[in-house]
Amino acid sequence: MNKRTKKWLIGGAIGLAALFAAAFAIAVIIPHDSRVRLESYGKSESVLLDDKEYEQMIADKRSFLIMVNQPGCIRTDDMSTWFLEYPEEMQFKYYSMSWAHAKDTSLHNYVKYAPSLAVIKGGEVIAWLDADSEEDEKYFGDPEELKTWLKKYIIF
Amino acid sequence: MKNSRIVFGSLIAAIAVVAGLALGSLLWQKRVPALPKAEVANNERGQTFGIDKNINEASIDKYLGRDDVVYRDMRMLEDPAEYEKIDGDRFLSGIVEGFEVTPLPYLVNVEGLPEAVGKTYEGPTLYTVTDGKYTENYKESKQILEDLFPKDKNIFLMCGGGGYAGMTKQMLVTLGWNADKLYVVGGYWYYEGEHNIKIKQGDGSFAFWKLAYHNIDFSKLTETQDE
Repeated sequence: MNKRTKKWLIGGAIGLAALFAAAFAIAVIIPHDSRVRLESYGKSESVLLDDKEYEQMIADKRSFLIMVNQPGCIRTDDMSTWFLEYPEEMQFKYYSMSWAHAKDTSLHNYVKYAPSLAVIKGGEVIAWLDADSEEDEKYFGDPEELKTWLKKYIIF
Repeated sequence: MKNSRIVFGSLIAAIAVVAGLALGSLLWQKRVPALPKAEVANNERGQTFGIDKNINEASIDKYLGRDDVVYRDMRMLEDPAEYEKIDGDRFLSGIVEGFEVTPLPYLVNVEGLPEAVGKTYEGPTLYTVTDGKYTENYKESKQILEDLFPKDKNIFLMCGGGGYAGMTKQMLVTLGWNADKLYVVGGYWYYEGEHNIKIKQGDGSFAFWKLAYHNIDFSKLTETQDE
């Protein structure tokens, strides 16, 4: 092996190692954004789903925010109103489903009570609000707190 | 002599009865665990409806069938409000075993329903509430309320989602009931326990005959304005 080939080999090996190191850094060390990009922004818009439509969206591995409401629940109405009052850049299209439908879907494995909000990424539930949890109470009662929660899981 | 034997015998018998009662009471207390103190949960459901921290849909099965508790479900069999328009359920589709139906809309006028469902029951009621003040509509109103919700018992309240149960507690507390004896257990729609009595049947009909129901015949009552 002549000197020139040796140089090429060493250079190639170093290059490959650098490539692997960069890929490793991107995949593991540099934190990637696990938040969800919703379908549309700029306008608060709600689309009503039933249990079958929800399951189809899950099967299609869609990413979205869903509100589970209980007929007559005051706070659920509050959340819809808050969404309308958020600044334009924080308005978005979301889905809603009544508890009567939600309890017959796979979402019921996570959401046990209405009202609730759940963030779905690629067909997987990544976060949800629990109306029975003391920790989550602040998000139900204050639009600014809810905004903080949304920003944690959704790209704006 | 004969008299003293009778007196002595009676005394022994009385002591035996008292001892028996005391022993029975002790055994009863051992068999039936004490109720946790009524305490509103510090979460969304507690803040909105007053649902209890300790006795709720998830734990109610442990507290069924007690003699020191009356169990009340505050829903109507069929609510005139069109709940199906908001994907709700206007029919009483099921109940937790032991709960007796005592519809809130017959006790007091119900307000604040979502516009979409239209009007709920607007017939006679025992009380009318205006700005938080309850007025008796019938001479018998208070007596009926005390019969339905005995003050010497603990009172467990349920409905579909928790709203009617919470409103009932609020009414009773305002009218002088002890809040420590009133538990808002929550809503049947969230109950997943072992004592679920299904009223809605497979063919879509409703087996209302399975329910214990407290009927108020307003035609037999005396209106307060008649006095």
